[in-house]
Amino acid sequence: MSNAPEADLNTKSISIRNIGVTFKSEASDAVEALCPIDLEIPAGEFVALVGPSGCGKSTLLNVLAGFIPPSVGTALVGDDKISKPDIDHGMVFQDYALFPWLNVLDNVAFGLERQGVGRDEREARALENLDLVGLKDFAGKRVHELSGGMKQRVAIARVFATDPSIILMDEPFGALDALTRRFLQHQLLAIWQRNRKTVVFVTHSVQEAVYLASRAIVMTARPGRIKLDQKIELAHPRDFSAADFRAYEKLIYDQLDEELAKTFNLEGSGGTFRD
Amino acid sequence: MTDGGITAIAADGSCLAAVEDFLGRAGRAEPTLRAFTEIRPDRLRADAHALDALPTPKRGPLHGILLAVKEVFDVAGYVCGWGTPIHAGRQPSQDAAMVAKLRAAGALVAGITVSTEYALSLAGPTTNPFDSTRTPGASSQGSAAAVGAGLVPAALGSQTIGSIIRPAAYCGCIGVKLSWGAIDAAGSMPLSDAIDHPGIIAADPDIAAAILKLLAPQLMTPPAVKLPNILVLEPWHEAETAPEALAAVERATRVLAEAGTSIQRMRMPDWIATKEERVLDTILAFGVAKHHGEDYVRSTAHMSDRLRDYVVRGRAVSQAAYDDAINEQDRIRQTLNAEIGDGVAIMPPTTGIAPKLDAGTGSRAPQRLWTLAGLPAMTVPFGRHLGMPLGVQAVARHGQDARALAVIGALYGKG
Repeated sequence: MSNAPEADLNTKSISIRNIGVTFKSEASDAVEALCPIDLEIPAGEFVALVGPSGCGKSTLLNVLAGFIPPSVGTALVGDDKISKPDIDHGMVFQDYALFPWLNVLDNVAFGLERQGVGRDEREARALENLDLVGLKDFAGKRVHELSGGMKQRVAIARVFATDPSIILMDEPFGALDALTRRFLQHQLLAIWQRNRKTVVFVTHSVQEAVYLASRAIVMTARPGRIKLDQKIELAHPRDFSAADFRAYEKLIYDQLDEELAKTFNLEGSGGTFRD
Repeated sequence: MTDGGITAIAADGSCLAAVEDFLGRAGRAEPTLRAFTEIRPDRLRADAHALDALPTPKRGPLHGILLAVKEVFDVAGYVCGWGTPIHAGRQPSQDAAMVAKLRAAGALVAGITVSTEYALSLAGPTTNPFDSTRTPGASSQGSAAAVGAGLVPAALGSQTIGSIIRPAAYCGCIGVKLSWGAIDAAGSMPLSDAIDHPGIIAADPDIAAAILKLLAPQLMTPPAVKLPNILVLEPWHEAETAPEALAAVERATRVLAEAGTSIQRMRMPDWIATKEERVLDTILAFGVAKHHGEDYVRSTAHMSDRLRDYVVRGRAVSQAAYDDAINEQDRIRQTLNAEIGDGVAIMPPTTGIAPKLDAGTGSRAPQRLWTLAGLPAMTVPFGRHLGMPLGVQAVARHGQDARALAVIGALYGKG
């Protein structure tokens, strides 16, 4: 399977050049969330970002989404500098971020309306993308009638419907049960293999990173820096229990554990242990 | 017990009165007992009111039964936090399969009960209802304490090593862990798919039977004989069993003999005694890493050392090593099924009475093997020592849960 996207697909590279983020507040000293980092992501690559909580993964994602400006450095999508949120940079959040007052179809069509797509085409494209996530029959439902897994499928359909050039996913499956999660991982992979969007995917699951990504990046504890940049060269569908899969997991864990150790509770954990 | 169900509601027959009574008693007991993580009076009253409004023909077999639910099972709208600060705000939108089934039958969720950390590690604040300086056991500690204190007639628990049988025995309750796979575990926190057992803790055999009939009807067909043959099993494990715990089993043996059953002695095969702990540990660690390894990455600082250790060891278990352990588990299960046959083995559920709080939550050794083998194991209160409950554990072969339940019923109230 070739990693090169087909010519007519909308997918772009991401260049992160010396991006650093420092949060300042009046109440306390400046906090460096992200050390200046450099990262080149070719178009069509699926990158997983893994690291301890607070390592700056989500901060980096928010810079790429245009939600927060970097303190230093430049980020480019294709040749364009990121300066503000752009519907061409799709974002999927852990908590779905759907509009509760709209039905499923209108949630998916929402971005298309902002892109100026006409009503009929909006509906057709929304339905087509709902079909990709197996929710075509739920188009008329209200959001509150859906389970968590279904809401996340709507959020994924919504992002793919606008045909963005990059997709940013902030721990999108973290709140889902194991079965739903497996199912959505599978669906996401199938869509990605078709569309070859450039994906940056934040996760705390090493297994998920190795299962989905073509490249895994381990970040250090705060302030975040790149500790490991590893291509995952396994054919899809990947087998969790295969020795080479486990070897990639171990490679990532070995790097990650050093960083996790730095975040251990210094007071330790006393008390009585037993199941 | 009548076929129409059980009645545990207040004298005036209203669920609302039973709820008010529960709230009053829980209010007095909880400052010391600390069995619940959450009780929501308004919701409980509203649910009771709705049940009271049901016409008699629409009332379920558990109409008005107050059920406490361990925080590892999902209850819609409650905080079900798995005993860890990492999931402290976890609020599921759907009931676990077990909870949904029992509520549909008329049970009222009295509240959510304390579990140890991930039902595996750090103990919660709960104390023993018979002596607040002693442990209620673990991990279903809130559920056992709530039933043992008489606050609720039944509670849900889960066992992956000894988490139902041990606290139930320490708190003077009936504890039931059915055959592995008998109960739909959807909506419960996983530790290891191969050894997780949802189950119940109950105040008496009738309530237990009524609930089990709903949860696992396929296993509740009464056995052809009134009482199965009894196999008295010598403790085989490394942990030493107190004389009073062994004496309780001897007294139970006499009660059963008088009821007309045949009594034989059974000895655990050495190879099982030697390896059961290691096999279970391999399976469990693998499962913990699989299901909670992500929490370790996300929130290491909020995990106990012991849990971290499970995750790290579990990650290092290769697929081949795990498959070996599962094969060993199967060999142990088959051997024990054959040894027990159509009989029921009895032994102490614990190594003695509940230890003092600072001495931990007691030994898992007498419960562990039945979890690993997936055989139905149950405990019934049987006598006291120093004012603390003792129990008798009954184990049948896989699928013969009703036989063990018959033995529990025969011993109940005879200790």
